[in-house]
Amino acid sequence: MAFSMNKVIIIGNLGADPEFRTSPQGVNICRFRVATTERYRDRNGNWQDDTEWHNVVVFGPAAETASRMLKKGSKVCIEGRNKTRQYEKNGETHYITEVIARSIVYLDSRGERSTSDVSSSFSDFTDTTSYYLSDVQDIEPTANSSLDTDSLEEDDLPF
Amino acid sequence: MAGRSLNRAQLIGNVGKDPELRKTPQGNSVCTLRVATTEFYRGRNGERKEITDWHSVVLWDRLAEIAVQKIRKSDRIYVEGKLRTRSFEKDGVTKFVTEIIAQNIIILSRKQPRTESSGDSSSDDTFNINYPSDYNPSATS
Repeated sequence: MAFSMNKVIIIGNLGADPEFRTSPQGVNICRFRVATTERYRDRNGNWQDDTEWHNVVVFGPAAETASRMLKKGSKVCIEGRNKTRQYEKNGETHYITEVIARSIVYLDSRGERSTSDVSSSFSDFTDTTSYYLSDVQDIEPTANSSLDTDSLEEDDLPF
Repeated sequence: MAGRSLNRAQLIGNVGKDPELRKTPQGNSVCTLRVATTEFYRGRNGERKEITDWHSVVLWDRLAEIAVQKIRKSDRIYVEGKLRTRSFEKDGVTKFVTEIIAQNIIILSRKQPRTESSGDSSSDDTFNINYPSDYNPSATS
């Protein structure tokens, strides 16, 4: 099987304080939302801001670091993978897309900038993968997670 | 202030089905590619495991028009773009979906050779399209 790539890099600010919890299997999980803003000119030549919100999930020991280092408004760089999972809510199947962090750079810490490499927190990278793969499916969306995404059937698209 | 931020997604994966071109009410071309990425890793007992993720990639305007001519199911492609989440109504419920808005695509390999039916004399499998920096697909949607 040939190689493939699934890489997301975002730099932005947290919209709220991170949430920290421990899964039933004992794996630490930190969740937060990051806003990225792109500025462009509309057809009339006026500047417009286009803000995107991203759901970020950090697993394992790095989750503790992230919840300690970050708060609302913090600037952060996240590198990770794009992951869509499904869950049931009110008898309906919903989908949510998240960025599973592989590495985090804390951009506004005073003094030297610090980096948290998710994979180096474990004995090896594959362990990290098995952690987040097994856990992503088990986690219910948090109450303030508004990004209940639907299956992308072609017929559902509004255009 | 908008500040400096970055919203970047890169994929290499296989296309799940033939792309279909659609038109917005405003006349913009658009098509959606379903792209699968597969990662391999070792489980805790050393066993080989794989996980496949599916991504929705949205192509606008000229990129969409070229893609429906050149891309077919099972082709392996590189996609570069940005993540965007949008909402839509379905049965009275607001739903959200996260997609990758493609800004650049490279066809890496084709599953099967095909006869050129598009009238395009180019034999180059690779095509790159970069939208102009001031082009914003969300401004047209």
